Amino acid sequence: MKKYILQRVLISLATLFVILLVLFILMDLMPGTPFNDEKLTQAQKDLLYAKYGLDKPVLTRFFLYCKNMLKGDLGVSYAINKNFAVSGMVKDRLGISIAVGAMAMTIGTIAGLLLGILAALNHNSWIDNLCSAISVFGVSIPSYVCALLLCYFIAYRLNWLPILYNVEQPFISLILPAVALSVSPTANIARFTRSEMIDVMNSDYILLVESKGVKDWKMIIGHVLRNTLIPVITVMGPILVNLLTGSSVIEKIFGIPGIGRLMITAIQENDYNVTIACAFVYSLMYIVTMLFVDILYGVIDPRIRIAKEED
Amino acid sequence: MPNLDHDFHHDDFDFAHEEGAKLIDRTYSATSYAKDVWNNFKKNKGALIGIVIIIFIIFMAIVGPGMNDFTYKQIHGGQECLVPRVPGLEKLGIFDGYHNGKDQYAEQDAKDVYYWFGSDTQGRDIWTRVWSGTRVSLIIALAAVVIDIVIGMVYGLVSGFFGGMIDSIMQRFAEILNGIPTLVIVTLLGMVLPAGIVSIIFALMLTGWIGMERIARAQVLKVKEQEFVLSSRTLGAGKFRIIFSEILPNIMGQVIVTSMFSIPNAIFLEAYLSFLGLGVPAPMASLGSLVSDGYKSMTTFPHILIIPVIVMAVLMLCFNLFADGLRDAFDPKMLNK
Amino acid sequence: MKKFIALLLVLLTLVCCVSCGKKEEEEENPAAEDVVIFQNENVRKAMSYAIDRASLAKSLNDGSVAAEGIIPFKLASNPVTGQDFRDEQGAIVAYDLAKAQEAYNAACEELGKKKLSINLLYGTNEGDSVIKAAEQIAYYLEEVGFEVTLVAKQKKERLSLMDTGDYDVALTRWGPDYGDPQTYMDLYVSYNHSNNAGRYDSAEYDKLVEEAEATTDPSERWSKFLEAEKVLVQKDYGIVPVFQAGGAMIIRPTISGIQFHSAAVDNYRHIVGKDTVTLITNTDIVYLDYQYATDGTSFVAETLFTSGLTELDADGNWVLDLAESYETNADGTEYTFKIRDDANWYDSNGKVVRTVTAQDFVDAWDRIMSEELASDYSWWISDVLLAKEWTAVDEKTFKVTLEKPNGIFMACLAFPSAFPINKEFIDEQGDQYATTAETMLYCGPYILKSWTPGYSYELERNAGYYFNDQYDAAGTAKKIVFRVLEDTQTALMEYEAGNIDTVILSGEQVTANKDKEGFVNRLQGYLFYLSININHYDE
Repeated sequence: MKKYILQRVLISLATLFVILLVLFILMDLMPGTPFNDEKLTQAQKDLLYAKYGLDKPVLTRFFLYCKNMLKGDLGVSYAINKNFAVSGMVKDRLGISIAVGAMAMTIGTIAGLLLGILAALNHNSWIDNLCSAISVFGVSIPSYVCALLLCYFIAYRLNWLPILYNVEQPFISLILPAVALSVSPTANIARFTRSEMIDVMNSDYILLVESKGVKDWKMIIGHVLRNTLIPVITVMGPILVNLLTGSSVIEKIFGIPGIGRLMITAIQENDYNVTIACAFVYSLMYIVTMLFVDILYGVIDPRIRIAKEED
Repeated sequence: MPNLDHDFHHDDFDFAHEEGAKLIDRTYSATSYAKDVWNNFKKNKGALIGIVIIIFIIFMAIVGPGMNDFTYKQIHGGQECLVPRVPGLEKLGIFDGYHNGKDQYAEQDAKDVYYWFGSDTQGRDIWTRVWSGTRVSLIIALAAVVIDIVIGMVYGLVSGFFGGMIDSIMQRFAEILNGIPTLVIVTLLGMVLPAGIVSIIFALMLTGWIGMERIARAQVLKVKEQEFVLSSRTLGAGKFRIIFSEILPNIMGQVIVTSMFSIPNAIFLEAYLSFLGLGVPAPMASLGSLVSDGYKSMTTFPHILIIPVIVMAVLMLCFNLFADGLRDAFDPKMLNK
Repeated sequence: MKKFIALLLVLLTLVCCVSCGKKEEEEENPAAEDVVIFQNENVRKAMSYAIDRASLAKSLNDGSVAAEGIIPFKLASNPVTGQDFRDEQGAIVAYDLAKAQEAYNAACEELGKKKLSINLLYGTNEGDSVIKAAEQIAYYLEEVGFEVTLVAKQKKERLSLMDTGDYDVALTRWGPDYGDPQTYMDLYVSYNHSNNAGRYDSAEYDKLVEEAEATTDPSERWSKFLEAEKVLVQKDYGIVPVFQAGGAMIIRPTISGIQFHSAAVDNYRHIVGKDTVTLITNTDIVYLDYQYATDGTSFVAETLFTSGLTELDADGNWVLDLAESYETNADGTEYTFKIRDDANWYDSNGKVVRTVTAQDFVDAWDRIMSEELASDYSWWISDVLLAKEWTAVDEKTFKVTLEKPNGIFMACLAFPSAFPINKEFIDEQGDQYATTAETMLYCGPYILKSWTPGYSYELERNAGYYFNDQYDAAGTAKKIVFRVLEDTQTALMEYEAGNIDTVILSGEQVTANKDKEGFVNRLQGYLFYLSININHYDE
């Protein structure tokens, strides 16, 4: 097991390195420059390029960047907040996005599991259909519509929560954004839980458990749930990462200075260092989460563990 | 000592069946796999309703835009943001063109005009735009599902089944692809591809299947160690035969259901793309772009948003009923019931 | 083994497809088959007459007005009569479907084509009004008979395509840098390869503009510009002006004093009505260093916490600020300013650092012109102020020598690019200068207290400012908070809940809110026009 983890960590580092290189090359291909294309002349832009070292070849810049990254220096921003250290910009906003994302994930997981279990236990009854319908609506209505609806009715009309994010009440003012963000994960998790659980409940070993006389709901759920959750965790991994790295539309609507908005703006403004830093953070979180999920998966599910050892 | 005191008379026993009745062998005609699935499917009422509504919507998407005189791009200055007004229903008090208590149509000099779904912020007819947008979105939905299954599921199948080095490489490649922001990919695509449905398909091909492949792979990992696979292998089945005949049917249900959930993502991705210059070019509409345009009027003229959202939600609901029915139909365990 | 190879092949094809798709250098050319049709004057004439500008502006619904020429309203006034350029010139574009049709038919005949196709390029992240305007323009052109394909791109790509001439017709804009027609006229001379994307080439136009800029007689200059605009727009149809951007806002009725200037930086110094005012901004400050900044939001903040020799009043006329008095020589080529004795540099805590000197101005103008700073606005000193020499005669006397008399010189001193700097402080701070509120020095009526990037920034009144007593007497706000909000619908809710005092409205919200108290339509300086690719296809 330990050897496997070590192997995976090394591979992950290599993958991150490749991602960084690909990002660097792609940034070069993007149209336009980080500077004010509307008003600057080509001569002025060339001057700025030289000043920031952007006129050096791609590979040179890449190795310079890697070297600096190891020291913790992620470069400076060219367009969004000129000459700001990118590491500072990303750090501040990442914290807020993680807060919203974690809240959304919690709400989404609890609500999704409850909805999915409820539907599966009442398979083919009206409760099942209702839960399915709720879950379908949750996915087909975009998050920004949900966000504005919530904002309008709960914050504006009823005044139960603040309309926008504000730093003085960080937790309370993030509840609405988290709920809006959690609608889609809830739907996905509910759907997945429901179909997995139906599968499991139809399988032979549950039949065995029932025929053994275990009528106690708790015992059945204990057996069923454990088997259901295994693949559900695989689904939750990417959902979690997407939530943690912020949703640009939710951040825009609630005025949250998060990392989702930062990355979109950086790409549109050609702010290379910020884009690369944000994309790198996202990939890092994704790879770590996937590694964690894979290991967890192998640990929980005995069938997979056996398979791995055979290899 | 056995109790032999009890006397048995021949009256005590009666034939269970009618004497002389013939025992007829009931034979069942051989049905193919497809027929089995279809029979199973028919039993699911929800799925049937789903299919019927989908067919209705497809019909409307083809016929709807032609049902009135407006086109999807005709701009009518001075007739912006009118609420729906339907000729027959207006006498009933609904859909009569009144917004906030005032007769919009009278105020904006449009007494003889009827917009069945209302008009948008530039004075274009929403009825026509919604149905021609549905056309585009249906094509995208189909493309999304096909790509999900053809690329995502197969990728996950192969990766999960072979394991080891192949799995590792394929997963790393997926991670790298996932690490590049969608906006970057799409901007670069936009520089080389012309706008249109082909560009959406390309964009989906590059980004849309990663979620599915992880799920497919997880399912494969679960199924591949089961005994029937082992028995197949023992009987000498080749690798690809195992993948496609043994494993695939068992994960198909889950895959279909999951692929349905990638449809809204594809539709919203198209809206995002058309904002970036790919996707269907303006002024052509798609449900996704109608929704994102309607959002801006949500607090002032909600009808511009609500109508496309309802169409999309109904479409999704039906796709899901259909997928559920399909899944239950395909499930080998249910086939014999 | 065979299966493994097959798998590898599949993987390789996938990788090839992906990399081919991305790394292909072949750029899609969004120009129609023969761009040459735009050299035909009737084509351009048809386009100009086809657009119903009034209806378009009305449907944008945000205070935008139909353009009457390339020079926007309220940009510049006649040096003798004081009349606005646009009013004096009148409308030199019009909507006339019959004339458009006639020109189109003539063009078709001359070019030997049945139908003319146009690719209309526009930007999708430049505001909703651009998208709507593009769709409307396409519709109007199609009414005349053109076949229009809308090409949507992000702003950076749009600018890049215009740079290389890879377009047919593009909806673009120009915002005035200063209040004089020259800021527009310069754009369309044939040798301006930075801004003249369509490569409009008219010897007559070039001559008029050059003569206007060479002459020292303001009247002659003015009339040359009037003529040049006529040549460009009315005679040659070199570009097609469409609309001037507006901006709908709601300002809380209890506050007043916000000065909107369409050709200069908005002035927020004199807001009265509340002690703490919370204002909306839809973009964040980009750079606190006013010698480096290029965006309106940064400039607005910088005019609050820094001062220049002059300031603009509500009517757009200049008044003295840091300068206590000034003198000029006979022909107006030398200006000598006496800087106020009570003008000081303050740190973020309000403590005096030292007095403002003439050398501060010399250092500033040297720095902004320096090559190593590579500032976007270095040309402000040389090309707008027309300053060729500047010295500190003594500690409080600053002398500027101009290349020739400049009617807008005094007003343009109110722009942040001409503000003084404290050189020792900048050298001391090094890389950290202007990164936070604490790494800046202030000489304006307000001091920047805090800045949370992407969220908000706060300014408080500087008690040491020389006019502070007058501000107090007028009831000027003691604290200004700017909140960065991009979504107009939630911002309006926040306004109605009383948490912010101004809000920007989108076109969709105007109909429902225009009767609200405090609603105002402000005219911006941006003039949106169609840039036609006349000659730019052989580079």
